[in-house]
Amino acid sequence: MPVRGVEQKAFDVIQSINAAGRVDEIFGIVQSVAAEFGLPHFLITGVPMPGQTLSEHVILNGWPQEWMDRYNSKDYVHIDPIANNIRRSSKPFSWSEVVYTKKKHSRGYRIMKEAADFGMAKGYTVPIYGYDGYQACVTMGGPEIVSSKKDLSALHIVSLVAFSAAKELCGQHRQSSQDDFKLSEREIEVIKWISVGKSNWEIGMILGISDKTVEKHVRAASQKLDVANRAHVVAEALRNGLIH
Amino acid sequence: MGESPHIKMEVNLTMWALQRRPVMQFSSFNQKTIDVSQCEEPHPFRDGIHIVTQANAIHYADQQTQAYRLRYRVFVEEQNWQALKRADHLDIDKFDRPSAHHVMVIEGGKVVGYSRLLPTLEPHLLSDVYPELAGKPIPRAQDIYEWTRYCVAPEKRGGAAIGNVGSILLCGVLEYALKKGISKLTMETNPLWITRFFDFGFNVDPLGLPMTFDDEPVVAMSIEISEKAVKKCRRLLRIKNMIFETDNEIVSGSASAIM
Repeated sequence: MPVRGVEQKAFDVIQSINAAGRVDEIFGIVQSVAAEFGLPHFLITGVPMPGQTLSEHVILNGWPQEWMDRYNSKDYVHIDPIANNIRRSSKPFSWSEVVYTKKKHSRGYRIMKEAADFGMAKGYTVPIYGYDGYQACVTMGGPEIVSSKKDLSALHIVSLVAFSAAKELCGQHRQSSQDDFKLSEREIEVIKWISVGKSNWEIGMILGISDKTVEKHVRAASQKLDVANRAHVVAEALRNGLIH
Repeated sequence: MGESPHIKMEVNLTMWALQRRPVMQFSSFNQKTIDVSQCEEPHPFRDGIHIVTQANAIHYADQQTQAYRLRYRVFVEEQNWQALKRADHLDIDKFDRPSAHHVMVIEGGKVVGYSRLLPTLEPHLLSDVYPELAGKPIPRAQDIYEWTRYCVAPEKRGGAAIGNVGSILLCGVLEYALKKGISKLTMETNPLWITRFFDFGFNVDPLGLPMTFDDEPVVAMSIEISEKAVKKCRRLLRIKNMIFETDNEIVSGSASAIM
């Protein structure tokens, strides 16, 4: 494909990912793009630490189910040379760049042979590093790499956007906001009462605590929400889905 | 001035990104945010984030030189950007004009972190040095700035990203952009920052395909500045209180004078 064409395609795909409202929509978009670039078997996942399993970190599974079952049952993630390379590299890489020999890495070598049996002889992997040190990746496998360097660079940014969007949509159902802000149950209760117009004194009566204590909770919540006053506390709590 | 044919990555945050120790390191900036309008004179030696523009540059002569020296240490001595090499060991280029905004993290009187913001209506890096990174029209407007030369003194790196100088600098730039009414920041940086800014809640817009410079991928992108995302970034990086010194024009809110 001429350069302009690939670039425009990447922009269009990114736009459709950003417009997606559900995780399965993103799955469909990624699946279609990956197939178009000849690497149909994709996986978007966090990278498990030693002792953890792959399945608890998977975000989007585009692998043949039989392969995924095999991979999990044998805990391949900790011996897979590709997975190991993710921990060593900050840049995307083709699987052919990863060195593993039959002699020195016999188990890894065997895994790659098995992957080839499932249609993943070649591949391209994009490592991801979060601000707090978490690791993830978007990895794509196929029978061979037909893509040019430009094509792969398009896959690179499409993968990053797909990961971010999928991760966000997956996390939407969690009580993530509350954990992020670390507001106590009491602080949330106080804010709810303020939102219906109660004074500190009234809230104290309702909850059976002194108004000084109520004030303390308001101050603590204000600090955690990074706001300056009482009215703002309510607005911010609403905005972040902590109260309704 | 001759153009640099040797293009390198502007914002190298890879090392920052690879820090994975779980130990939290808290910022040493524990004081409350100070409203600069209360101060008679700017205090160039106070620990905190200082914004230096032509309006207050006269008070920051020494710090500005320190900033150019820090840039040189990081980009020429560490990262080997040959094109920036100078006999005086200062990194000063044609974009260090009066219209440039310098964001400095100062600790113990020393500049330990730095970023530069350039107005996009004037020649800047994406328009003049790396136009090939742009596959879309380059964002240029009065309220769009380009974020360049992000660097942290080597001795101030390490440990967890959360709460350290690098994070303070990051939050400082974003907070400043918010205060100033900047709608977007463009940058040329490691693609890893696409997911990271997404994590912080920013809308990220890649402006072109990543290209490889000296074995490192670089992508041009823009982020939309929103209060929600700037706050989330501070929260996630545990930057509670920031001491902010800006030029008085900003504090008094005379918007026309700023841009």
